[in-house]
Amino acid sequence: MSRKIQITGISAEDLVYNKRPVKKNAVVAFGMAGNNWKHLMRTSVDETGGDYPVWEDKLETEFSSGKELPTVMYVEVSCRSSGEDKRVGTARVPVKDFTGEYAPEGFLHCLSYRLWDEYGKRNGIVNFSVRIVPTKSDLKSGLRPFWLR
Amino acid sequence: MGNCLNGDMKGGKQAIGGVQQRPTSTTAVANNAALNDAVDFFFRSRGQYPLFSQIELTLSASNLIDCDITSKSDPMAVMYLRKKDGKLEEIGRTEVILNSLNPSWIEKITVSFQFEVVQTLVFHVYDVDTRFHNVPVKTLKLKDQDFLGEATCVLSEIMTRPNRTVTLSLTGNNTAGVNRNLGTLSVLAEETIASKTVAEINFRCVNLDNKDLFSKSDPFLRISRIVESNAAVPICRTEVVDNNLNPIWRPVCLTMQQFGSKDTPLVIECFDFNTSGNHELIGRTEKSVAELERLCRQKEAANFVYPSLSHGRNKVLKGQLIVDRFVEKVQYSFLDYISSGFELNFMVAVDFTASNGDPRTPSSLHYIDPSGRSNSYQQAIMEVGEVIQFYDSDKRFPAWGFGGRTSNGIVSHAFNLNGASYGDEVVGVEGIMAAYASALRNVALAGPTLFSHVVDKAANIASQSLSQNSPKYYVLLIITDGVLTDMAGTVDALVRASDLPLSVLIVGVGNTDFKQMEMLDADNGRRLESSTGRIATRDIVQFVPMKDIHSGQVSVVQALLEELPGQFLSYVRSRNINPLGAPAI
Repeated sequence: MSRKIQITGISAEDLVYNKRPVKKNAVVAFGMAGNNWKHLMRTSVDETGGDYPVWEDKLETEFSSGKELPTVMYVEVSCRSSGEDKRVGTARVPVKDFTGEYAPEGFLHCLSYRLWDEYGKRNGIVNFSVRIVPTKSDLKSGLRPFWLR
Repeated sequence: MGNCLNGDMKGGKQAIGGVQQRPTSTTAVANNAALNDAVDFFFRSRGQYPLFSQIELTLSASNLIDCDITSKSDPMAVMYLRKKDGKLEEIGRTEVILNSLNPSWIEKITVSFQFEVVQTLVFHVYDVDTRFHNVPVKTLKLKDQDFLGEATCVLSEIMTRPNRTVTLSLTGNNTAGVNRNLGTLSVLAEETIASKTVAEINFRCVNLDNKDLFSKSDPFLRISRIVESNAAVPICRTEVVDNNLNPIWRPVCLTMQQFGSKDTPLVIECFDFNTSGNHELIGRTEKSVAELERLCRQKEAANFVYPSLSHGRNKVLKGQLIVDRFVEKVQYSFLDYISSGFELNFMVAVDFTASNGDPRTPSSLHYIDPSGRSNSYQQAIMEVGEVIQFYDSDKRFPAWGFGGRTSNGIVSHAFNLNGASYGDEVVGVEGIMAAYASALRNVALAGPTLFSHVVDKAANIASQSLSQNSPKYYVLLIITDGVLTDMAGTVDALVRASDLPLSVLIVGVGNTDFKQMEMLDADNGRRLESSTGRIATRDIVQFVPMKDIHSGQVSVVQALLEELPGQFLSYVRSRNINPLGAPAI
């Protein structure tokens, strides 16, 4: 049985690259641990945001529960310049933060995580929202719960 | 123009007022009771919500008694606010309607609705004698008129009804024998429409003049509104963009309360930021909101002018202001949500750690005075509970204690205050007070001071309510005396709960140093970070020390509940949740 996840990369704050605030062209990518990096989902590039990029891009993916669930999702913010992506910071998100332990499934989790650069230092914050799309059988119970937005 | 001390450079460069508050925004909210009008106006116009809403009350009455012989009564209504000492302060009057026992007055009475205060309104209806007709209503002496009846209600009671109307029975002022049927008075409350429309504008500039010697200008915009006396009142300021003559700023969100009307002229000034605080003016322009909308639509730019020192013409600069985006939308207020059916649910947690002192000694914070004087804990419960009660529909509150050793000998950090094993709910504020008193007799004070268990319990309740169909927002009130033992655990619990419809209000009693609590409050903009690297989605904590309150003019309630409407709105707005039945934006 596969479930759909909707992820929206919202924004990031205080990004620093090479000791200077990032000027432009930041992009964020989401990937499940265990998968190859080819399966990363990327947002579009924010050309003007500087060190406070805003994307508001909705991404969707499926993962099948049943087989070993990934326990961690990686969120990586990079800066695209002269053709290549330079990694600015990465966050490690435990999947159980949005799979129903703290809130019912279908709830829109608005989450923020600390980004760490490759030297292990703090490098800003990334904001995104995640939602596990409830399956048709969940919706059969009639009224759609109000708060689950 | 912001505090530009050398220490707080980053703070000095932040946008003020008119910034769309995302739940993930770090701009701090300064809700201090202001000291003078200019500062008050400046801080009051935050893009999120007004500190209080202006409410217009429309009154009508029916079945009034007839006092005149040959015709019907000529009624007029007067509205008072009952102050804390019982005295009545007149707020306003309607006009006189001639010859009617079922008047619907046109004149509206405006009152500011303050969420954190219990506002008791008293209405008096008078029959105005014929000799006083055609005289301005304000000059009428009430003791010369015939009294027709009195009605009382609480303002929040009106605001929580679905159609914002309440009908009250009029009673006689003097208790004389038979209670005649004096008729009824209906009160309808409306928020002044102006507070709902919001304009979100993306500004950008090109070709600005360079004011710095060795680098480029650091420009920011300041937007002011021109008032009747031709003075300019600042309403907002963008953030500073460093070293850039073609800056792009983050969107500015202005409420209609801030800019008045779409045709009110606004002054937009562009300054070069200087750390000394003397920001140099680069240029200015005058545009109304309607003109800004036109600039955006027709993709035009407005040139800045530099005011000339001599009385010659202003110098037109090359620098231009461009409006990239102009969006007008409706922002519902806290009252809209509450009156449409959103419920606030209240939970209490009381500190039972040994640092409070043995309850039998008079110096203890838990001392129950036989003369009846409330201790700090009882005072806090009463004051906050009194206001929240009006918004909680069933008036059943979960109540817990933490840090105490219960009758089975184990120290618990979330035990039921009512001592029952079947449930943790008590009914009404009186129920909390009774459970508190009985818990003091049965629970031994122990320690350490941890909040994480009660926060987790509250978060659990809030998250379970998500599956229900009626929207509820939870408020956990923690009354504590001391320093946290496990700061990391508490922060983790708060971060986990920051995404849920929950607010945590912490009242500090006693004289300890509450620096840790101030960190949790995150009013300085530093969001809470948990040990797993997760950062709080929004600021859900508000902390107030009782000792600061008792020395100043602000009551506990006003300080604590000021942030609550804002925290509630940050939750619903970030998820695009509208009041029940309201059209989707």
